[in-house]
Amino acid sequence: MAFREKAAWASLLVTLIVWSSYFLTVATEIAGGRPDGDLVMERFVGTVVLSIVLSIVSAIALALFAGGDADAPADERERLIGLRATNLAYTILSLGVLFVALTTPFIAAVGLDLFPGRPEHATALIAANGVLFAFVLAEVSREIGQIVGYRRGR
Amino acid sequence: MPVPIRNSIRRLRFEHGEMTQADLARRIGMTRQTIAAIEQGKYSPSLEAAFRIAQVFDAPLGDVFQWTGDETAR
Repeated sequence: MAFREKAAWASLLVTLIVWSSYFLTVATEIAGGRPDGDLVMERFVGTVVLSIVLSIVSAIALALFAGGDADAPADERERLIGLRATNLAYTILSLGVLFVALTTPFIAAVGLDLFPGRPEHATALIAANGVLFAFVLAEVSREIGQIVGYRRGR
Repeated sequence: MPVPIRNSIRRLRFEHGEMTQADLARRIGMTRQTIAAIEQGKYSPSLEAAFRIAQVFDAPLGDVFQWTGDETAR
């Protein structure tokens, strides 16, 4: 297995584990009618830091076992696989952001329903996490796109 | 769908002292996996990479890569 394919697998696992935990917690809190903006922000920052730390640790671990492969620049096939995966991710991100934009009235209605006292606060919280979810989904699709590319050979 | 280009890299490696895929990859600045993908017909290299491969074997480009698009179309 190529070094970059292993890196894509590691990145996918880190993204799935770290961010699925974040979104499950936030979604549960919102559904339960007790979201706290400050707490969500703390969770978000903690998740970003954890994601960065795990990415660095996994990259170092992979590089230790990869020998010279880790230093080698990507060749033309690997760059092509990366570009295709990035194109896929861009499409997913665009659709995700468009979805959040189009469902804003629905999000606002949910905000008003769940938190009559501070509907704008809840609406912003749900919309921001919707956009964040689109980013994470795009990243997951980029990593899956890379893995599929390496498995297919192109 | 296979690419419409056949190649003789495996034979040429054999004729050049059983050159390994890793050796060939190192000489043209690619990964071993990319050489394997080219050999298996999964990936068509760029024109520059094709010339580099031919140069390693000191062979004309047509001896290394052969167009099979017409056969595929039939």
